[in-house]
Amino acid sequence: MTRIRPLPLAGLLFGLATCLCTLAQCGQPGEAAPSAGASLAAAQHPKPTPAGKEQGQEQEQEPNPTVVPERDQLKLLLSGTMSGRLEPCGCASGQLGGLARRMQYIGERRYHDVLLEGGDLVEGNSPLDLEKLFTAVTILANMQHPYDAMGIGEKDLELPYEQWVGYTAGAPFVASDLACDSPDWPGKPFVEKQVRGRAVRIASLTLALPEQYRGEDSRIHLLTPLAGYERAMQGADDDAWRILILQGTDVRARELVPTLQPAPHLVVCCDASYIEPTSRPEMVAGVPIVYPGTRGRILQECTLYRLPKGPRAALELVPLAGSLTVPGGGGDPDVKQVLLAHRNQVKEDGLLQKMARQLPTPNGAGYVGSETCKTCHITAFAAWQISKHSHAWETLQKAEADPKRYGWPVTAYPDCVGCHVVGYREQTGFVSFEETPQLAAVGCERCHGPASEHAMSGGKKRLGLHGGVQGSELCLQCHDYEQSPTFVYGERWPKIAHGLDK
Amino acid sequence: MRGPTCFLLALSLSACGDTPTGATAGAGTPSAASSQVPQPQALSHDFGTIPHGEARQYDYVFDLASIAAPGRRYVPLRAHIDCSCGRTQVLIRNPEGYERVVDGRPDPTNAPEPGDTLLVRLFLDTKTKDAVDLKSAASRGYLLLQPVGDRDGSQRVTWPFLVQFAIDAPVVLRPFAELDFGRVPQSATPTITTTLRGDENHPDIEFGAVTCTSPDITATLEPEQDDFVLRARCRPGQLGNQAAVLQIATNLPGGYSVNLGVKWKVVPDLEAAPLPKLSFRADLGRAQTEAEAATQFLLVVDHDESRPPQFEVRQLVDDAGRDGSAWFAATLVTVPGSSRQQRLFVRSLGGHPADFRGRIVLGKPGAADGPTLSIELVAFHRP
Repeated sequence: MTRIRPLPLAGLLFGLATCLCTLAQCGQPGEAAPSAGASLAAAQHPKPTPAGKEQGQEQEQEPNPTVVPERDQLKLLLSGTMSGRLEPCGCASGQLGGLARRMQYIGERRYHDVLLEGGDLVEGNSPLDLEKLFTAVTILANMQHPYDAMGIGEKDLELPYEQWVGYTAGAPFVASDLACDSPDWPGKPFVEKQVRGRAVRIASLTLALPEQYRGEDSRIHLLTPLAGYERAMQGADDDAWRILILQGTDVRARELVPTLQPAPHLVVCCDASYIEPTSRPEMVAGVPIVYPGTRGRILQECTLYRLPKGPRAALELVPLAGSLTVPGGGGDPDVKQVLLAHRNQVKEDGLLQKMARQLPTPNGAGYVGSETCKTCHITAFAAWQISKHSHAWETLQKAEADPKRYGWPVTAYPDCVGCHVVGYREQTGFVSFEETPQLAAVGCERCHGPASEHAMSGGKKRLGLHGGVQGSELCLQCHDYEQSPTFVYGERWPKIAHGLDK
Repeated sequence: MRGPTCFLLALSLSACGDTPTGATAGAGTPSAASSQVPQPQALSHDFGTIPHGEARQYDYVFDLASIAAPGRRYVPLRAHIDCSCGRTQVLIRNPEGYERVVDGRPDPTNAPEPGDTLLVRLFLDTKTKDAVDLKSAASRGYLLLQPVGDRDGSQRVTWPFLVQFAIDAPVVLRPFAELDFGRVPQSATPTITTTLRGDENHPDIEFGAVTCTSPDITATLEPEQDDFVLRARCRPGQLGNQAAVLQIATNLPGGYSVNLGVKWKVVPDLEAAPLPKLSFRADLGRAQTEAEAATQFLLVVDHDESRPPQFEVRQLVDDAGRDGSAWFAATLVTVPGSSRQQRLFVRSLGGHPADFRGRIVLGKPGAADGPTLSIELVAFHRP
């Protein structure tokens, strides 16, 4: 697992370009925002919301951008933790987000001074996460509108070190509180760029390390937040904008921000419990804290003002919606090509099979398939057969065959397959349709867990729900707010209700 | 809402919290809440059918007394709605009717006082959606509360609410209610066609002027049988991603206009893919064989079909402008099956045992003053 996998040709070229390029900084300071020519959603979007108020003070008016000198304004585009969501999976209508729509939006606007990505580009340490990381870095750091800074989250560091370093080389990753002796470590203490004659210095605090880096002999060391911040701001102009990306919770941010010297002008807190970005900044010790949300579904436009009474931020939320009538429409066509290459690469690499059967089953038993359950649970099986769950694999196959919907190998993509089969990634679970056809579709054991011991004991060893969770929680493993935005447990349960046979 | 359904619904939504499956929960998220944390039942509201283009507003009223143990006060932090056209605002209304916006800090001053009313004001603006009918569907939302004195957020309460609505668009747009031209080379003028007609409730709708927020998009609307055909043409201007809104006036009351989002990306006629840059590592002190240089290429294309597809190498120079053709050979080969695409191969001829940085300039044969394509060349010497 320490070898960097061979990159496809496009990847090689991008990768080499990354190594060779100095960090091309983007943003076109001073260029006026287009008054028209915006996307349908964005063009009709309300004005930015006012800045937050200080404790005990009345609501402030938004600073007037025509009065505040341009040099005292900074336009940032913020996105929080991507968590591996390169694009909406497409299994429900109305899904938001995706890198293609995001880069299209950035390209249309042309006025951002600073592009910031929070951190945790991925949410696991599987080979698929590595592929996603490579694709995300290619798009965010190497294409037409390269990001200025990207935080490093704890999840990013769970990836195998050599591969993570190989894929992130040259990208503007910032980790002010992480120290590493290795010369190839990509985390910089800070990044800085000039905007209208004023430096913008960006720091990022990861605040925690994953288990494998917590030992004394670890190659990565975690500094205290204050030491990390001090290191990042060392040598910065007194006049510089100071921006801090903070991994961690809102509670931690509120504790930490008042202790930082010199005070940042803006804190971008990547608290993963904020699935949607906030539309108003929170003021703590005179510093605006903003929460950019997760999965990149809604972008946060932030205009930062430097006023005599301190920094103020005005926010506007930009939901990245797709079209209801143009499949995949609205995104940057070049980014869509890169994403398509990613999907095809996942298939070519056979990741579906490689990632299968890597985890233990929750109850230690094996999967047997719904046909075995039918022997005793005739009525329940009949109810399941007429439910959509029994056709879940066909749904995926049909989606794959419909070029208007997908145009990429859905049945070979682990994220998609996981919700349409039984026991994917677990021992004795789904591997492929050819190898384990009895586990294709959402069968009995998807909810009730592996049933080999239950069947062998004649039902004496009882089954409950997979993982011992509540029914509603189990459904939400797939039917979450993004993949099933209209899912309501109480309404959907009657559609699959199957009672007890025995 | 009826008993068992309501219970299950509340269970479902409270279990969902704002920490989706697979996402990392930070400390103090609702999923970390202990069993003593109240799990209030969902509030719901049905807007019925909203005509497309109109906005709606509704105030959800949260009765904190129904969940709070005696003496316990809650601070509202924020509200969320899973709907792209919905926005929420958390408000506290005092007995005199004055409202204040809550700023998200878990500060006791943000807790409602006795007699205050806690509201989540939901705004829906259907203009932000494509002009197509939307079947009635429920969207989920929640209000997040934190007890006063809860220092780490572990006792936060997620109070779910639901909004149900349908959208009725007065026109039927087929096949597209949004136009996406994709990549548009500078020399191209692509056209997209879609049809409009009134729906069953507006069969006599009349369409008026067609305007666009970008001069790069022109459109005509002509009757054809029972429909009106909209032909939108893109005449690319500035390079890069572009967007506009195409507006078609109607005779419907209220000045309703059909809005179509338009997107396109203008690319140069002469392009190198994936980047106008070629870099490789090789022993630059010796000549490479053809096989060794087989992966040292990029694709070049001329999208302007009024010109022949061929390129020619005009220059191969280093950063100081010195001729580098003695050290590198640049050759162009047409891609089989794609007459407009060519591969530009670069091979070391030896004699330059050091890193090389320069560029290759391609032009069109027989057009000395025609367009050129500059490609950065970086070769690392690795003996």
